[in-house]
Amino acid sequence: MMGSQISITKFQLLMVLIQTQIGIGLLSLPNVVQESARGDGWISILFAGVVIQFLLIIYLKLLKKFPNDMLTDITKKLLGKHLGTIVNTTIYFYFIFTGSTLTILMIKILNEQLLPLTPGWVVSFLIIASCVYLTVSNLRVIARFFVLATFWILVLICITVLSIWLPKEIQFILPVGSAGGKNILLGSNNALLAMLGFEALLFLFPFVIGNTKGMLKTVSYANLFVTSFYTFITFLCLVTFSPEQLHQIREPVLFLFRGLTYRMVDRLDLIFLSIWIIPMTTSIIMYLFLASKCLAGKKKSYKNAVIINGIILFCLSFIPNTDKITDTLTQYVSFLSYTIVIFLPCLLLLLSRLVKKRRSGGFV
Amino acid sequence: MEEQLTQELQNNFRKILKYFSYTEDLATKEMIFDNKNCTILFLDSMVNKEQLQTFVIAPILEAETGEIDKVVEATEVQAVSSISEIGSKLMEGCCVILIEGREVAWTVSVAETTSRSIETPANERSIKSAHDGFVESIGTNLLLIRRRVKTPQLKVQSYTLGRQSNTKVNLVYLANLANSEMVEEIKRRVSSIDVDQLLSSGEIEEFIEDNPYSPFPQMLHTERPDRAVSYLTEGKVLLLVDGDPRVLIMPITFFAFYQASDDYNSRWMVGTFFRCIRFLSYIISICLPAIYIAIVSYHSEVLPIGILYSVRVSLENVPFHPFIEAFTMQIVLELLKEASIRLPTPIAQTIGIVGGVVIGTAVVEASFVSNTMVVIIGLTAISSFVAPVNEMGTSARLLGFPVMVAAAVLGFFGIAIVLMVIVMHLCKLETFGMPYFSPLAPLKEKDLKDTLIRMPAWKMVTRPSDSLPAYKKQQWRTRGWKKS
Repeated sequence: MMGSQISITKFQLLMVLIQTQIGIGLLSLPNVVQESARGDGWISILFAGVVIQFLLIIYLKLLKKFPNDMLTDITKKLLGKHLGTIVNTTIYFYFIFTGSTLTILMIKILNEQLLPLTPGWVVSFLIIASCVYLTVSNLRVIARFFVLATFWILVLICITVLSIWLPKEIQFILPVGSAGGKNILLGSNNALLAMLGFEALLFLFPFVIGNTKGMLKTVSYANLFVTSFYTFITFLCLVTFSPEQLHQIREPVLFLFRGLTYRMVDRLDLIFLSIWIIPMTTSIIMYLFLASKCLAGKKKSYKNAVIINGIILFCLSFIPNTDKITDTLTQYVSFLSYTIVIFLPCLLLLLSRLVKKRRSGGFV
Repeated sequence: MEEQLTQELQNNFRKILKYFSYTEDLATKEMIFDNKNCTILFLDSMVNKEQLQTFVIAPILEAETGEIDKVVEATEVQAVSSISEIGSKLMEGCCVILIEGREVAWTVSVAETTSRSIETPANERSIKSAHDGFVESIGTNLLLIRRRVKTPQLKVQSYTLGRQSNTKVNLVYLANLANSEMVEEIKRRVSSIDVDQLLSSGEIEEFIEDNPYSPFPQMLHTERPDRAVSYLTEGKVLLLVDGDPRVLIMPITFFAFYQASDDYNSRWMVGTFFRCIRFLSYIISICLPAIYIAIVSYHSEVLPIGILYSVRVSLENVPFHPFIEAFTMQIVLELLKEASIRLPTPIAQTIGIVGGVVIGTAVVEASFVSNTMVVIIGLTAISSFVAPVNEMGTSARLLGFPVMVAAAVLGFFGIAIVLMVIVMHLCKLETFGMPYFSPLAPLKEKDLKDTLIRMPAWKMVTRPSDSLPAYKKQQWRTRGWKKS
């Protein structure tokens, strides 16, 4: 009730994770995985889902040792104050960079598809202003909004089902596994980027009510949903478009809808994209939230941090969104993400075990 | 230091007269009682003369001696000694009996109660529900509520607000059900009000609401006792203001504005159907003109060629941007509504006809506005009046404007952003600590049974939890006969 500590339920956590993961990445996902994995792109995504599942288990093992701390507190506890601060700064930059990359990509796609003549800064200002408006409140309100936004994803799934009636060619994905293990792995690597967002768990864990039990189930459901949704869409694209077409189409998911025509509406892709603005924005909101939590820590300056980060995001969105720059940005983000999302939690888990052992050995 | 009565009658009388600024409707009646001079004071306009004669004057003349509170036959006889107390009693419609050599006076309640008879509220009509409505008298309104909930738990807390107006304000709630923390907060806010005059519940709403800058109404006004009581039994608090037939209900959720008493008296499928229609109306009244503007000015490729052709043909001779069209038409509609709403019916009808003909046909024939736009605006206007509570419909119309502007400037993207911000705002809103957009945000599956849909009455085992009632269960046996 009033004044009690801000907390969210497990159901809300599930929705928050789903909303953070699903975003702009989906639109180009089939194109990205197809680059290396060819017709076996859908296997790549399944595999990426399995990897994420393992990561989530590692996260939970780590977090259960510190049920009241966010990642930034854990690093300080395990690595000491100075090293911890350096690592936390890296984490902060990771969130800011991911957030701004998402913003830049979103502006780019909106400029290409919906508003070819509107200057990018107007779009980015509106997006970031609305993100800041929600993020300044608190996690509970964010979670409420994300739960509502998930209904939209259900609407989108319904629209997606319509595209089943497009002509399909199952030959495109046969024979299964023909791309070879290495290429499928490379495909997973690319898919992982589109599925980022599960690392929010590292910060949300202490806010969840009853976070001692049943967390694995919750996060697994989130992962299951995202992985199957992505696999489903990618599979649809892979059987609808030929490999040559897929190679040329940057956002195959939108083209999936462009083929549909009805008596009352045409160009479903525009409507799809307009609705998709919401899941895209929710990802940015979450990264803005994470960056601000990083910056503010447990102090009360959270609101100011949100506004500062909003301004930083806005400034970063002025980076011209040519293909070359966005590709470099994506590379940086992926490099950073491997450090923060995979390497750091594993290291922390190992350290926490060592510390525990040494303590029990030394003091008893 | 409060002025007290003295033993001298003339002195007391002068003091009271001074207290009332020598007003000329302060009447007196001189008599002899117990062989002493005795004066009865009353505000001529506030008392019922017949009662005064039969219950006060006649018994005193008859008895000639004894104790006043035994002699006088009225229900409420009270001894008071300070001038200000006497003053407030006089203003409530009591008469004051002063006796030579006594430092106390007796006040007897003989108030004139003129009140409108109980009628069907004009702005909340119903087909299948109770037809009584609140009136301007706070006593009658309390009676209407008490008659429906006959429980000792019904608690009335009264306040007198307004330095000049001294308006009676009553807070009504169920002591065993309403969330005590919330009730305390409401009491704190109400008792903090210090103004000269308080004339309507609208003012008090603005004084105590959480988010004055929100376009959404955060308290529900109603003139229907059945509606008020139905929220009372959900653990909400009612606020009655003397002189205002509208009762304030708080804290309220968004969805309460789309519930009507009739829903519960129709079959549940019918009720659910109407609920859905109303929510559709809300969405239409916010979005429809904006979507039209966005489509014709940015995304005409969304329409298949057949429809696009007919829309384009109607736009052919119109010299204005669709946004200007939509905006002026909305304004014209508001003008028509405002012009006809307070006029006597025959004139209002004339305005309706003139407006209808001018807007409907002449404007199109003069090709100021396209045919499609008239259809769109007509639909929007009708759907904004569907809301059972007028305020929400008006707020929907108002919100339609920013969405229209966004659509005219940024197309679909603008609509999506503005709608998203509106939903964010709804998620953020809290009234008296209770979430406004409950049960959608935060999502409470159990409470959904009485929002977008209306489940059968026997399914509503628990009451809505948005105002955190002390206990949830509200039904124990409904269709128990089936099991035996």
